[in-house]
Amino acid sequence: MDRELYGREAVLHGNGLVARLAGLTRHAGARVAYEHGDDPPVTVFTGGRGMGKTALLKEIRNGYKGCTPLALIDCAHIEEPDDHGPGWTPLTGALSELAVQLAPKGEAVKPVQFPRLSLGLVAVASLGWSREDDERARRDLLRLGPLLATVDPGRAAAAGWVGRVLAKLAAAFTEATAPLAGQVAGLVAEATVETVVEEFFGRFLRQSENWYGAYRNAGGRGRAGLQQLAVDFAQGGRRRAEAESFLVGALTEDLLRAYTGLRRGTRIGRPLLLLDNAHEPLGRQLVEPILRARADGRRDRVVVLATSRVRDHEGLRNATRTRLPETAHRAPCPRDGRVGSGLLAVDLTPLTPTQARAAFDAHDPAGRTPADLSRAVHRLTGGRPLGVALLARAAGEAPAAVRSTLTPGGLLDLTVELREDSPPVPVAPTLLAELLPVPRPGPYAVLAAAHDEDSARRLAQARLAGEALDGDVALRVRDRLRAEDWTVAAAGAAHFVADPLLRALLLHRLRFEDGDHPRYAAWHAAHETLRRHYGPDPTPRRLHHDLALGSTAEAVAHFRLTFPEPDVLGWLGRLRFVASAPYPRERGATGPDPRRAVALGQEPDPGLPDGLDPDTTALHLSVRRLLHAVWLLTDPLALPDEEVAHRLTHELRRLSGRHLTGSGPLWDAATHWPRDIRAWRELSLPPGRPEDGV
Amino acid sequence: MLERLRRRVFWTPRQKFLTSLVVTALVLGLGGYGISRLTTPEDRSCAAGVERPHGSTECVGVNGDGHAFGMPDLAETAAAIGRENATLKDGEYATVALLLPLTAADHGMRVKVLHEIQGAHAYQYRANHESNSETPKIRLVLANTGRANAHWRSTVDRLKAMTGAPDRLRAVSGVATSSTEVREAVAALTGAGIAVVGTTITADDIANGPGAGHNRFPGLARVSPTNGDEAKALAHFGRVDAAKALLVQDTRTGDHYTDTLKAAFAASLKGAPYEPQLFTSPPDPTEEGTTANTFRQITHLICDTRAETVFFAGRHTQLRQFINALGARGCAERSFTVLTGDEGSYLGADSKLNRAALKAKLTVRYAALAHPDAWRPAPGRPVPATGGSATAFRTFLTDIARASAKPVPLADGQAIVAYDAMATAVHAIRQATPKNARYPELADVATQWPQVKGSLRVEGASGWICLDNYGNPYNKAVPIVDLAPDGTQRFVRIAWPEGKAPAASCLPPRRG
Repeated sequence: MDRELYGREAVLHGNGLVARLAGLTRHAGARVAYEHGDDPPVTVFTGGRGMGKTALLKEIRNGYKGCTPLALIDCAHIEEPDDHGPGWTPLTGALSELAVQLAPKGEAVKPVQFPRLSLGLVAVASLGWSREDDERARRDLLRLGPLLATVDPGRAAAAGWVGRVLAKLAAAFTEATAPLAGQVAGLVAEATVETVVEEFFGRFLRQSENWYGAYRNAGGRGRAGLQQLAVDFAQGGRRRAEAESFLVGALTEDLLRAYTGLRRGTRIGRPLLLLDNAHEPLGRQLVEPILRARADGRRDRVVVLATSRVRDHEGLRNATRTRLPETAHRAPCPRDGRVGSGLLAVDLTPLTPTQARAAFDAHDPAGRTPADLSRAVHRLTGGRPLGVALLARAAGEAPAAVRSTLTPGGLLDLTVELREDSPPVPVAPTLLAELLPVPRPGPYAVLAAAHDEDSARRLAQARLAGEALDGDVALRVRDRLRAEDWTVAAAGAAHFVADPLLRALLLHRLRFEDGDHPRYAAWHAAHETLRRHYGPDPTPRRLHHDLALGSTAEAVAHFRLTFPEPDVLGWLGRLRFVASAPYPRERGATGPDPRRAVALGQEPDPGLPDGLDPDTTALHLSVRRLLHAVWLLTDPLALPDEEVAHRLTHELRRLSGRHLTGSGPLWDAATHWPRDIRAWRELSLPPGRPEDGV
Repeated sequence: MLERLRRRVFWTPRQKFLTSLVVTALVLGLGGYGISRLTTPEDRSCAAGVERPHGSTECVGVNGDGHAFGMPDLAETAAAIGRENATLKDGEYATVALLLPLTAADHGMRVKVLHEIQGAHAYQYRANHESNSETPKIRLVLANTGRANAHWRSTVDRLKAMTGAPDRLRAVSGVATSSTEVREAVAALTGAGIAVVGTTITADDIANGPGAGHNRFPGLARVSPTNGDEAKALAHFGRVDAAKALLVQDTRTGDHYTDTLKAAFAASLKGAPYEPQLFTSPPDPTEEGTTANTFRQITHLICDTRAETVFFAGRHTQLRQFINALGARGCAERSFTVLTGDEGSYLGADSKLNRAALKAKLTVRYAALAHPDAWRPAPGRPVPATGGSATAFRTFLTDIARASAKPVPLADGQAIVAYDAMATAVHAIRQATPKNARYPELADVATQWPQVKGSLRVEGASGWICLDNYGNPYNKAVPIVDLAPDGTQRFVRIAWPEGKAPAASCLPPRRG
């Protein structure tokens, strides 16, 4: 079941990054020369939520499973077993899980044995066992069953091995003299290791124990090393970290042994360790020992592919940084003296409009959705693969009646069937939950209406007093968003939530979540609060919220009155900002956007204020049409309209003729803004200068 | 599917190495086997010294190890010879070869060959075990000249190569038919200085004679009388009235048996009133051909004559056709006697012979080469005092009983003649062996024949063998036999080429 991944060819294709690291193309089609010799870098794919990191790792897993030893774990979700002993930590759990995934025989791969890791984990698991508590030891041993099965599947499958090990253990206990306190852990570990070795290890595997002779204070004796390992593990703190690092080394050593010595030449390619969410502490615990060992000159030949949501993770400081498309043919990763130089950080890039188009075409091969929809979705999502994929799927599943009039906003209202065995889910909440997996997104939705930290705090004080039990809600939200690697505006920025997609989703939730049609109390409350905060003078921010509340009269009046002022660029900037207000959509509204009629002057009743002379009336109407046109054309949830864009040119030209001093900027705006619209850019200011395009 | 196979056997470097190794080994092995199979010449050997000539499936060559040349009926005797030879020690034996068409196609010849071998082996046993430990011992080997003696040349070449150690071939016996190939073979052998003892060759042109140009086979001895002697004996026996005799003869030339008979009969029938009746046999006289029709017509003509005795000069296939035709003759009230040479002995075993013809006043008499009753005394038929002995014949009976588990049929006389020929060869070899030598020189054996006479004669089971200076038997007893309706031959009495039994001294008179 190959899933179509867009824009990830640089990693996945026949000579892509993974193929050059693993030495194999997908499905083991052919061998590929190793790019980095015997020192492959630990490759970390970085990207925020919804950038397709997990999908990429799963695709790699699907492509290479059965062709080379492979394991994929999510460092953020290690299943913690019930009632585990002190020998279980997320790291030992992860190591066990990795080994069990790496071990099995595949279509083109022989099984891998993990004798060293097994011994280490057995030694560690025996912590906390006592002669009285047989049940704990039995549970812990059973949990190690799958791992021991990699050493000898027959014996692990046979019933009663746990009983035999425990019996031998009991015999060993009775023989032992009363141990000194503090040495208990080591002695139990030694006895356990001995019985497990007797039970499971054939003659040739017994020497794998000697590998632990390299452990601290072991002096070359494997049994002593294992004993010390257990003691250190029991001690906790730095000692435990050391022991855990050594266990990671055991995993890579077992993998390396599957490729060298007598087994040389029996395998093709390299084993793959896929670590999702490696920015979590566990990921660092797993990767760091490997990196340190490699910096010391060890060549374990394991290909580690990790993902990190945090682009500027402190562990990546010394990494060689590159962007995804640049890795298509070469991904050099020069090693210097620093440990971190063995890391290759690959930034996942957003999809290009073409790739978004391809995604839409895949779901809607007949092309019955509007032609610009994929481009508009790309503008809304910024090319974020998750958003593009979900919205494309929603477009493909949209009811036939609405399909031809779909807008990005309309897509958010739809439902989408993610799995065949569960009912369709609404698009916007699903996408929001994926991008911002917080238990209660309500406060985030409210604060999405804010512009900066200041207004957010004010809004939180007014609307979210109930949430503020443990400090300032706005700051908590801000920190959480930053922790999720979302950009949060500093003071003076246009929007508190900078990412257009996340903001659109939060505002969508704010408007529609409470089902309060048609009053939209939450929406109104939030915007009213902010409006009042910025009022009563018609400041741009106040007018912005006026628009969000559906009232344009004051904004039109303001722009008419300020039009003659000499600062035309400021006027245009204010107009652009005010028109960036979220449009108060009605749920399930069909037909053309109401702003379109206004922008084209087709409104039956423009609602003119009283007492205007004809010239002023003309200016008023012109400004009104201009405001609506900009509002509509820059709304990421709406589809731009060529006719409206023409009208925008026309209005700006006319206004340019009216203005006494500022006809130049207005004329430029008339020329460049429609171009910006057609190029799906933000409106440039001053017009024509690429300021901060998409 | 192919992909799965590749993963299994040609995926990892080690698999590639091992698979390549196995495939290379297979290719080299099979290829090498194929190349050697194609380039090695076919193994055409049958046994030691025996191989199949190109274009033939017969086993041709010389062997004395028990090889039966692919003939099941020879197996028992060949094995017996092989066992006997195996007991001989190196350096104390001389070899006698039995040159015969062992792989002959027709049944009659095969029976004849078998009996010859049995007779020869019987005397080999006597020579090795019951001759007062005389030396050298005799090793007997079988030499096959192939069907119709076609491959005589290679066999003779091999025989010629066997005169040295360890074989020390000193004599060749068994020369049994009179044909061009046999004559050339005998010429080649005698030309190489090897003594040859003919068994049942009767043709006059495989014989030496007085006069320049007639001594073509120096070293050839015969134990059977020549056709000429037979014809003379027949003539003495019948005292034929030439006026009541008629000659039926084959016009095909090149067959020395018929040619000799024709000449001898013609000589004794001088003054006969009728010209010879002619027929022409096919090139291979054992084929049926169309001669049966000719004989039907000849029968009509014979009825028209006053002849009572018919001399038949032809081979036995034609003889049988002639007798069958005579059996159905129109003039059934008249009795006829057919006289012919030793080929008449084949009739007894011929299933195509119409036996009823023999009851219809038709007597077939011929000169047999030997007959078991010839030297066995019977009431009213005393054994001649000279020219042979009943004692020698009883000795033969003892010997031949050892040669085979089943009693050897003796009626055709082949075993007797072969026994005598072997006896002659052994006699010559031992006579030629100087004192203190273990075996004779090759040349000395071939020069022994003129001395085989008088008291140095060979007392054969078929009669005394006294050789004249040309190696031909002098006044050898010729048993005249009747062909009985049951196919056996009934001994009539002994006839003598010279008209009467030889003197006790048995010394041929000066001739010419």
